[in-house]
Amino acid sequence: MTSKNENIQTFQIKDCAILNIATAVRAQNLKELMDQLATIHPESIYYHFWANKLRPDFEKPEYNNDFATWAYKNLHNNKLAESLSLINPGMFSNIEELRSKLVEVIESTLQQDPSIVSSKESEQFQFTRADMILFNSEFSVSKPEELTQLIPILPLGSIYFHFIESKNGSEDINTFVSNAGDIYSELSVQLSTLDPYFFTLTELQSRASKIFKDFFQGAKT
Amino acid sequence: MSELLRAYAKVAGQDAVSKLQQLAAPMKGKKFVHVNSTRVGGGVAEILIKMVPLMNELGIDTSWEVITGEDKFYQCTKSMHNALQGDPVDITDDLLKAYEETNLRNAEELRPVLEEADYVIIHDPQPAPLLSLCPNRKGKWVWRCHIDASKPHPPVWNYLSQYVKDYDASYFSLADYAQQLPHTQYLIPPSIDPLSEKNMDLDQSEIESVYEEFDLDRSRPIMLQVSRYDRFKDPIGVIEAYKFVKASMPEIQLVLAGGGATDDPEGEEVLREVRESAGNDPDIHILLLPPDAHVTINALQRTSDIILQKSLKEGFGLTVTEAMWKGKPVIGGNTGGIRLQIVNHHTGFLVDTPEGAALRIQDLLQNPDKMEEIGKNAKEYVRENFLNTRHLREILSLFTILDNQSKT
Repeated sequence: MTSKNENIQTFQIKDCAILNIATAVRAQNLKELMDQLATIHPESIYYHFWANKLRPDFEKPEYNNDFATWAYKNLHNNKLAESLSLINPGMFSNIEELRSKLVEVIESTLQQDPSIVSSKESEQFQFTRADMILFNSEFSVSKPEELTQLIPILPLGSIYFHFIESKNGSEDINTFVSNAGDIYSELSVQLSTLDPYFFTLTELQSRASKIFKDFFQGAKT
Repeated sequence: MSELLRAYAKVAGQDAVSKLQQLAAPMKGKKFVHVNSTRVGGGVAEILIKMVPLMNELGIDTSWEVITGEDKFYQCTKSMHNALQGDPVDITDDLLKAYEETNLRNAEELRPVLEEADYVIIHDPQPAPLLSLCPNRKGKWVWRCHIDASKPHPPVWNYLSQYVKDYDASYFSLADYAQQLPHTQYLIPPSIDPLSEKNMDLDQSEIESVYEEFDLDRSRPIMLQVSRYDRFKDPIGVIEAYKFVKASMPEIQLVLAGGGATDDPEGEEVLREVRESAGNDPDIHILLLPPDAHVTINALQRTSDIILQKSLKEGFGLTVTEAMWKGKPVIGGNTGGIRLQIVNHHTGFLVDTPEGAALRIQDLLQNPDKMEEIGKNAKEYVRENFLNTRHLREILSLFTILDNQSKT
């Protein structure tokens, strides 16, 4: 086993905030949703899968993306909501593949039941996208061990940025861990099992904290 | 850190202030101008009164200009406001001429300031033509629409959009309000200032002074709506809700506290209708407050048990935010920006009718624990989402994005 500890770089923790953008593109029924999905800005599809995690909520959302939630709440189509919610964006290599899958699921639903159920006019699906602004935080670490104390107190914007927005990139926490040396390879494996799609940011923070705590406490004993 | 920034950090969190400082750093010394049509009364003026000093404190050279007009101008802009909210109001050429001439006259006066500014926000339709009247502008210009423009009367929107389309960006409170425009439309809800007279903590004696001042019985429950006397705020619907509650809870008292904005000529007529609907009921208190009665409104909100904002149309509804910040359960009309603030059953209740409002009022008055829990949720929800530190962060983010786009 080799260690690259001596080469470890400082990992700067960042925070982020999003600025929502209205596309002024809307859908009131499933057919409209499908038609708009075919051409909507790719950032809007990304937004409706991930940015909901930055929205404050009092309860864990029933479904994992905005398309499924709208089908459930506003079209009262639970079957479709379940099918849409099962579409895990992490399983697609790009947004266009994800777009095709969404259209395919909706098209199949419309083929089985072509009747048009509309939402109330005031509850149309509003296609939205966002620009992101990054902030420096007061935190930086040079070793993965230091994250054990830090992750539980990070703002949720930092959790979003380092676990979701930077997934597999240089600012992904797991990239930092895996680059820190072979002694952390098991920690990296455990972090890679975390699929953020299924968690709220608070849950993700809590799961990640537990993985770090278990790894380093286990290492001590 | 200055005393003012420390005060904000204490209420909104150090993190919120640190983000503002990071965003403001590249804008230090640059000229930022807000333009609207009234310095007192109404939500826009209330936001700017506190936001402009905060921006200056962050080192951005910020000023606030107010355009002025005559009766015909305000008649036109009130009609425009109503038309953007969906009323099929057609505006006569005579009034539109007054609108254009008033903007031209104001442009003559403001042009040097506006053309030199690095950043300009034009608030609402009243001063929208100023951009077209400042051909040598050097900065970024953004139009801010505070109105629920989800279903505007088409001829009026078509007229207004000829002025709005050339802005670098615009921003709205909700996605529903965005229209087809050739620039990016951001979504930035408004906010309250936690340090303002209307929202700061008050001494118990200040709070209790309103019982005597307005002849309210402190031993009986009070429901309150604070808003201008405007049909879209549905003060008559509030009186109906009160009457439903009164039938089973005769001890209830209602306070309608309103004032006028200098740009709202319809207020007196609506006030007459409200007085007529209230009749001689001694438990309905209709107050006409001056625009600077901030501490009085603060105290009224704190003495009330339940707060209503039963609007039929509402761009945002800052009175909802204010009440939530005071830990009060709010019953709001299921419309516009109220829906963004009230998470039904968690931070308040959304209702569609006076009957719905009456039901929730009775429900809450019967369940003090529920009132407390909803009030607590509401306060934290505002702290996270609707304080002016978040609002300013988003405005500065918007201009940062526009600046970055120019560089690329």
